[in-house]
Amino acid sequence: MQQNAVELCTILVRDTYGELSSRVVAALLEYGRSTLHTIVRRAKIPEKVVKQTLVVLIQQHLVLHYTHEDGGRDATHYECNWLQIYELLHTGRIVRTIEERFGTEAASVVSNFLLLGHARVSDFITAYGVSTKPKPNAVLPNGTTISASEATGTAPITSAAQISKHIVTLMQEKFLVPVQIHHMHPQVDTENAIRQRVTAEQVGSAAAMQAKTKKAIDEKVAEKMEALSNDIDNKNFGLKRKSDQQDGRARKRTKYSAAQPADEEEWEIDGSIVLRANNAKFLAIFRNEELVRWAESRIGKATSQVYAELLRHLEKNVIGHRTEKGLVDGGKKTVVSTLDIGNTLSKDIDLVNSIASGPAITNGHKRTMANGHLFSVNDEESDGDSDDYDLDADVDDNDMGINGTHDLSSTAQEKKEQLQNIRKHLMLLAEDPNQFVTKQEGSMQYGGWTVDTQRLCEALRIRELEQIVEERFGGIATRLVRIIKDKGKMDEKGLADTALLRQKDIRAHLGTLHERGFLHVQEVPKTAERLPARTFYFFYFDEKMSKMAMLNDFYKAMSRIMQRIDHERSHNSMLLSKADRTDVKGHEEELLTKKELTDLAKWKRSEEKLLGQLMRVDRQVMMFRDW
Amino acid sequence: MSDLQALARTIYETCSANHEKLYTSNELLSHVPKRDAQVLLSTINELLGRGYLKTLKQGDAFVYRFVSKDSVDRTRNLTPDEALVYQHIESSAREGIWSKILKTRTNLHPTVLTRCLKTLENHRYIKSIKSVKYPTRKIYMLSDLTPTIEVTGGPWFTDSELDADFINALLVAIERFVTSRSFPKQKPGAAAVGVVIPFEAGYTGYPTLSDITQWVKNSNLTEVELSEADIKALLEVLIYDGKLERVIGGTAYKAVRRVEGAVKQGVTEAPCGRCPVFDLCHEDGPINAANCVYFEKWLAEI
Repeated sequence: MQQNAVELCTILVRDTYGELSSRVVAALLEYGRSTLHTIVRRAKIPEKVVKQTLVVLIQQHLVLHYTHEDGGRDATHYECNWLQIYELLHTGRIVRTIEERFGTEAASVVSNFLLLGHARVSDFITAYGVSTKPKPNAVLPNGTTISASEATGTAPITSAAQISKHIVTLMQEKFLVPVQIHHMHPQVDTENAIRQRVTAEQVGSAAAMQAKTKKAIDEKVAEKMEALSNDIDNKNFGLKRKSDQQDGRARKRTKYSAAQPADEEEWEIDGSIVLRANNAKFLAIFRNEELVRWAESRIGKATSQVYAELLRHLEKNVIGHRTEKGLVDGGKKTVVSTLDIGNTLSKDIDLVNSIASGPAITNGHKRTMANGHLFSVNDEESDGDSDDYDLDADVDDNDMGINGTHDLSSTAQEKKEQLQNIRKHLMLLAEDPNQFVTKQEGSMQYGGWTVDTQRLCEALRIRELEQIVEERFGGIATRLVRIIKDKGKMDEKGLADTALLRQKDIRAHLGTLHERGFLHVQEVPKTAERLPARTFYFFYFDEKMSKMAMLNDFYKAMSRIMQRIDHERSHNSMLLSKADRTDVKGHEEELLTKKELTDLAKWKRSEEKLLGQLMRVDRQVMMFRDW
Repeated sequence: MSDLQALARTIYETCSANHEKLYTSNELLSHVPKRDAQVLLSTINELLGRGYLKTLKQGDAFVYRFVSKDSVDRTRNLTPDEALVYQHIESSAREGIWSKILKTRTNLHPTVLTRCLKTLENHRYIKSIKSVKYPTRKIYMLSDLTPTIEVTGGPWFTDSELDADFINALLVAIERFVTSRSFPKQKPGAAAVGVVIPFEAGYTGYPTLSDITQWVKNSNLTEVELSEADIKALLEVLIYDGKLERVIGGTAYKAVRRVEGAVKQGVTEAPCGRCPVFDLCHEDGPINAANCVYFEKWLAEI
């Protein structure tokens, strides 16, 4: 955890939960895992207040806790979950995503879950029924009645059934997940507890810890940890499959999500389970949006729309786990068929005119591109592809045979053409040097596709880094970074030769890049004396180190933006408090002077600009840290 | 010439037409009346003594080469030291010879050597050149020769300096050429003007290295002869610049699609991303977010 990240998290907590919470969080972040008394001492706040604050923070998953039971006296340790604190920044994005997909009602459900941290479903629903006054900063201990806030609940949700319907949909898509006890504990502690249990089983008596047993224990612990995080997947799979096999999984399910099927599609949830928003799933969605944008800039709008559809199909099966390596999801394993995409893809997308068929090659020499056949897709297929299409045609004919019509009806013909066109777009994506999709040979009609998100994100990061270098240091610096990345370690002379630049021209660039942590230098002395003149200086690029340096800068930049917003706000505090008065609200035109109006507009613009910038940096942080 | 005897002069005149040819004593013997070996011996001695002939060894036998009249005249006026230096420089041919090596080979005192070199340069018999590989070394070669590519550094160098303008002009031209071949021509009356659409997957019409080389040759861009390797170096640079990319298994090149108004990365657009005092910025320090002049300016330009 970096210094700048600590600063950012403290600011975030202060903005959302106030000064008290931020002091507790700062104490935890600065000193790490602590007991209650240590926090009291370090934050210099009375114990009672600290306790109340911790309850809020734990409710929001911002602080994890664990009680050690051995040694007679229980000792509870608290630890800050700073990644969760960072997630506070994503609230807006999350609500917007849900609104786009499920409408405003679902969005208000999710935003309330975000506001509450986690909540028991029955409490949540009752709170909606008797909507009380919003108390966003109120202390909400587990189990007490929760007052859902009206802050975002503008949508007219009237019945409890409506809410539960939304919750079920969101759960099926894994936007909401049940909270389990291990979510509240630091991962290390969970692992240690499991290890202790496993060791006790394995070793039994005081047998010596041998390398072999140790390895076996390690394996078993890893297995159990995996099982813990897989739990959610399994249960949700169970929920989905319940319609066809009810009894086998019922026992397991009742614990958290005993769904009662009324018919095939409708579900109910057990009121006693506790739900929270699944941040990792949203991270995966943001990542996919970014990938689509990338595909659009590289290939074109229509292709990116096809890609978006493909990724949406992948998303369904993805719950998303956040690990040290980044997001882990089933992207590499899940195969999406062209047919699936064809079924859901909007018909409005112009698939045909967005790809130009190349001029056919006749007798080994290329025809000019200016011929009239450019945009007519149907008349010229390259030889290699036509085989595939024949095969597809056969398959389709068979389908028709089953349906009892032998000549292709116009709709079927249309469908076939659409699928072929989709396939062309997917082939484009697969052929791109970045390999947006990978073609899977298999029995699926029109082919199946997988996406290697991990590799793609790697490429995305590199591209972003290069862009940053380009905008900060110019084109020559980018050229140098790319060369070094490509060739490994290089000295100034080799670089100048490859870049076709003079040595004295690149020296300054290399210097600044090294200073900002984009490049690193290794010295190799030619002689034992290590004279600078008799030393090779090899420049190299270390992605991990550059990434860390960048992230550190990002955090700092974000803190500065938030501090600037604070500054602007306090600068205009008089005006803002006046504009906030109940009698002024809505009547600004009449009650404020001309100067006040322009100042107010200016403040709004500044705030918007700063917040927009904050979100743009946030996108980069996700790219470098989470994806 | 006048210093030679009649026989020696005839032999020299008949044989010196070809400087490069090596003569064995048997071949020379045919020019001597009655093939008298004794006469040939004295004639060769005479020619050697006056510098018209050089002995070389080919295997075990001696062979002779005739020296052009010009160089004979040159060496004639030189002191022995100068002649020695001249010979060494001459033997290095188009590669040139480094003054330090010259010193060890000739075993002359540095001051003597410098004097010799100075006189030779003043007579315009030799010239000093700059090597691209070793820019600090003083290298000498005969003044009427042109240095080899290793010394001059190939087509990218003018006067042993990298010709950046020339390279940039070529880069731009090649990029333009590849771009023109990477995307289909706009259909007249197309709905959306300015939207570049891609060729379908499997398109093979992208220009290859030889296509591009051929185009550069035919385009009269430059008089310098550029080989495929040279063009490849240019293409590599364009790839490193992110303007081109390899397609079809690396055999052909394609321009990277450029989009107007695409979403760019954010951090460098805000003041912090390009702040010169970013490292000094601290919440309680003299430089902080509240008194930042860069934020002030940035927020003003809405």
